[in-house]
Amino acid sequence: MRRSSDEFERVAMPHARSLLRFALRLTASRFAAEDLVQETLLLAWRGFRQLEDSANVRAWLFRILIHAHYGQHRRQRSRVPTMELAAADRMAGASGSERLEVTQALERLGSDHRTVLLLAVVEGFTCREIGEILAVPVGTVTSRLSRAREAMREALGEKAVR
Amino acid sequence: MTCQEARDRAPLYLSAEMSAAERERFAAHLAACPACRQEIEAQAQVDSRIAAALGGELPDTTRIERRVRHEISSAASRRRWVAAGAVAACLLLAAGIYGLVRQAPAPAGFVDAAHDHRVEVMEGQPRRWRTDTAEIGEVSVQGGLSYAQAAALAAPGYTLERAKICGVHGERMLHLVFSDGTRRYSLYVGPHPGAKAPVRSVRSGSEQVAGFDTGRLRAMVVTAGSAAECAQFVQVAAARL
Repeated sequence: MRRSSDEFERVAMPHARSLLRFALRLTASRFAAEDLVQETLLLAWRGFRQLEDSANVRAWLFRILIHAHYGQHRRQRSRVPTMELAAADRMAGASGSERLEVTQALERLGSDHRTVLLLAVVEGFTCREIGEILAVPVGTVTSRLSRAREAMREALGEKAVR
Repeated sequence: MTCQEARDRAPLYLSAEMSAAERERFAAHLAACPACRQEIEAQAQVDSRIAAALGGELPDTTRIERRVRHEISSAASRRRWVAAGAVAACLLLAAGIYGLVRQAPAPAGFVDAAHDHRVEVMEGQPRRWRTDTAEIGEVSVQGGLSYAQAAALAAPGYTLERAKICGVHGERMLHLVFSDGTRRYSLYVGPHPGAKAPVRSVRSGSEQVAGFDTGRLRAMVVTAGSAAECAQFVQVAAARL
């Protein structure tokens, strides 16, 4: 099927905001997140013509973003990670204290746990969709999610039930 | 369902991905196990806190969208130019090929010469051939060549075996046959005043034909051999005519 830029505008571009929300938490940098989302959308545009009609466009976009992020991460491994987003969160003040507590707890998680938790809880993907996005089996997703929730509770100062 | 199974499957329960039957078994376990129920409730509570803190965050993407749209429209524009360039290149190529074809059509005489060679040399249809030197000399003169000049047109390893005058495409031509003892090829030579034309070569049925115009003469080589052999034979003729 020959797809147009109008169709891309209609089915892909509306996900830019949730992609950026996720990218901000993944990269902890506004600039890196914007670059990552831009790269994701351009990569998506290049592959858009081959996308099947039945494809889950949102999951497909997140999958591209994750691949692009880890590609960039490998290229920039030697760089010191920028944490200006955490600083911005801290400057959000009293009204953002709950958000600050949650984001700081998320930052303490390992990258794999943070990723599955954000995809499941903030972005609302099912375990099966997360498996497709990360190219891992559903069992891997559920075990990562269980450990991520447990780690998050500890990071938030709640004791997990043993 | 055991407590361990319940905790392993908890993410699927929280994301509502369980089948109705599994969900029923899971709910039955929670009803009977306060520890697991408390654990799942606590996990759901964590999810609620994360979703409440970050779920409403929808950052502005105007700048990103503008850059992406610009890139996409630039790429589309580049593609249109490349496509236009490709079409132009195809048209030029087609025109060039057409021009080449028009400039170098296989002369109709080539086909006649191929047919003549097949019938008279390969199939050995009875014809009045000149085979001795004097007679070959006589017909060669009619073709505008001396005997020595005709004999010198033989490719290396071949000798002039016979000759006669024949009609090719309405023109009287000297038909020389060269042989290496087993194989034979024909050389047709006749007056053809006009522009010079370089060697052109065509396949006509089982024969390979190559010919050229010197401005005074037209010469055509015909062989049942390969194009390479034909090229070799015609090069010798072209060098000496």
